[in-house]
Amino acid sequence: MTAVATGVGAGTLAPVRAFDAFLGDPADDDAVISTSRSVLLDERSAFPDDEITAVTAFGLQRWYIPAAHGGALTDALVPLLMIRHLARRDFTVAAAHGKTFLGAICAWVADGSIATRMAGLVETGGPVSWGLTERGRGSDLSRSATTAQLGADAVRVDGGKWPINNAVRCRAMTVLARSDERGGPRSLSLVLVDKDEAEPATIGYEPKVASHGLRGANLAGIRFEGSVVGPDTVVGPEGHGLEIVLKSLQLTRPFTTGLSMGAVDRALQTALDAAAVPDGAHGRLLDSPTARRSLGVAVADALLVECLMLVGVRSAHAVPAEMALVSALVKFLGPDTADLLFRDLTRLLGARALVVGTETSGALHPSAFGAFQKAARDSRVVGIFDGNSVVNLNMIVNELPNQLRPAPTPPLAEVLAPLRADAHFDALDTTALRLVTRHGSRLLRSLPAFVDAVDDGRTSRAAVDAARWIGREYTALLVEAETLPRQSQPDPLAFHLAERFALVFGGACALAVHLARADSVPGPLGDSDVWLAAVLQRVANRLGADPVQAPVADALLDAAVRAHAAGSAVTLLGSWTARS
Amino acid sequence: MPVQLTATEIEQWLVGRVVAYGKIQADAFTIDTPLAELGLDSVYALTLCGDIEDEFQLEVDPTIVWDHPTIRELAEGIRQRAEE
Ligand SMILES: Cc1cc2nc3c(=O)[nH]c(=O)nc-3n(C[C@H](O)[C@H](O)[C@H](O)COP(=O)(O)OP(=O)(O)OC[C@H]3O[C@@H](n4cnc5c(N)ncnc54)[C@H](O)[C@@H]3O)c2cc1C
Repeated sequence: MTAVATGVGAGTLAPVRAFDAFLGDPADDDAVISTSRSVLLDERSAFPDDEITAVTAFGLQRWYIPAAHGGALTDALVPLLMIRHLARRDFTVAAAHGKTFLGAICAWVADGSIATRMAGLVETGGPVSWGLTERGRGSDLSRSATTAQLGADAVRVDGGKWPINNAVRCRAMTVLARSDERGGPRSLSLVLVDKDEAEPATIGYEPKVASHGLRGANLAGIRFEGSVVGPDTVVGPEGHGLEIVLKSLQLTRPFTTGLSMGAVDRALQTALDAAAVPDGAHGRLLDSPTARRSLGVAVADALLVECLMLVGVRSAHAVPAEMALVSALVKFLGPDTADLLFRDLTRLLGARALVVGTETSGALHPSAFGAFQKAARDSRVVGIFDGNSVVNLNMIVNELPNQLRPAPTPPLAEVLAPLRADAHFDALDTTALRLVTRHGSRLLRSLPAFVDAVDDGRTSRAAVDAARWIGREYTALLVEAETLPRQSQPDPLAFHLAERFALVFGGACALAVHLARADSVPGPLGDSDVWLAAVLQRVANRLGADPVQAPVADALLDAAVRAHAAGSAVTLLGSWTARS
Repeated sequence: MPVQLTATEIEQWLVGRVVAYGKIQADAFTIDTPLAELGLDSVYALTLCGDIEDEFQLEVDPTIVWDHPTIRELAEGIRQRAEE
């Protein structure tokens, strides 16, 4: 199953760096994905065909297939960072290609012959979609009305799915459908509808959805009218569709943070570029104390999302049985924080944040601002698909009693091991996923221990004080959660409590990343623990404490400016870009 | 769990849980009404599973509620699991 080896951190990420090098410099019009072309395609709502073809020729899809089924997927951090590389350049390309990872995942969870078949499909580079949502039924998957008649010789699918990424252009779709009219959670099954197998005349489409974000994507509807496929297309046992989907979502939710991070990378890059050049009467934003504070806070927000991303994907490997809670915490707080960052930077950039197109705007590369507003629109999709924010908060509410159950907390070193720079994993153990956790999240439960561990005399007062503040908040939240009645429809207070738990979890993630990687965070961010102080103060601020202190925001911004000037992304993770 | 607990006692406990979660009257359903018809969605089944684990000191997969979709069947499922 999983193995933690030492000294392989950089080696594990070698394919990620190779992918970055392959994609090239987006400012270069001849790169595989160039920013100016991305912006133009987006304005025309045109699908990025050439880009997708190039990425498929590179073979990114091989990292979607577990090694056990003949692919290259061992450590999920690798494809996650590859998706981030795509999303920093063009979110639409990332979502359009990465969708196959989501479309295929139910087959890996189900395992057996369907996984072998799925591996063959994905290997060809043909897109695989995920057909869950139906018009008017939204997140409520248990009400799916599409039907599947599972016969001994064939499976017949009738109904429709909408809105679906790659609905028209996909080669195959994993479809959630009702296989038993009696209702209840065991009435749904999953069917792999390969368009090469079903009679083409039985599959129809609804027009492309005109959308605010992901404009160029092939977002549309699909209709099945007596589409017949073979009996070996059922994904998992009959009646296990919902269970497999819910478990798969536990893996795809942390995966979507790669999309958020890519958009955040793009936003920071634009803001740091813009802040460094004089703009009319303002002079440089980098010289304005107010602007510096906003920029420093935006960097802290970006690093929080990165911590959530790392914890999410590593937890999927190391503690799959806790993913019911961890995936919901990550998927709520990640997109929520990215949305906040875009809102704040929009205010900072002013009119430039709303510029579309590739026209020259002052001293910057023509497409910089067009790309900012594209990323701002595109990234808002993350909080909606794959379980929206309310659904995730609902799951957190349901998990609170498990977090409250008395349970031993493993030794600190064991909790931190999966986050270390030299941690390496061979496979995702999908058999260990559970629909609910036994004891919530051990990382969250370790928060008091993290706080004690950073109070070591070497960590800055600013970081330690903020950590202590968050630690006290966690204790208070546990007391409040004790009084929550268990209800099938939690009241708004419970949602508010869940939001605060998610923020406290964010603080725990930052502390854990710091404790696990203190010596391996690359410079300039790793030169001091100022990033930790800024992230913790920001989290505490969102929970009601004072704002990030100006000297802390300042110091973090300086570090980010140095990283940016060296051509690197602003990151806590060392060796995933071609330049590192 | 207490060894002598009967299916009827487990049923009574489950009725109490269902009333508490769903804010529904005890006379609005019987032990043979499918849980799905009580306005309790599939997420709630996950919560009920947690309560079963606590009440009967059992480690059960939440799908026990899905595979035994009425109170009568579920009580029997819990009783069997406890005997194992
Ligand atoms: C760009 C894009 C791509 C997509 N791609 C796919 C795809 O490939 N495959 C696919 O299957 N689907 C896809 N979807 C659909 C997506 O999964 C749905 O949008 C999502 O499930 C949410 O459903 P909804 O938008 O109908 O919102 P709803 O579920 O109707 O929610 C609307 C609002 O209702 C409230 N609400 C919902 N549930 C609860 C609750 N339990 N408690 C309290 N309040 C609640 C919330 O306020 C929520 O924001 C895509 C959507 C977009 C925008």
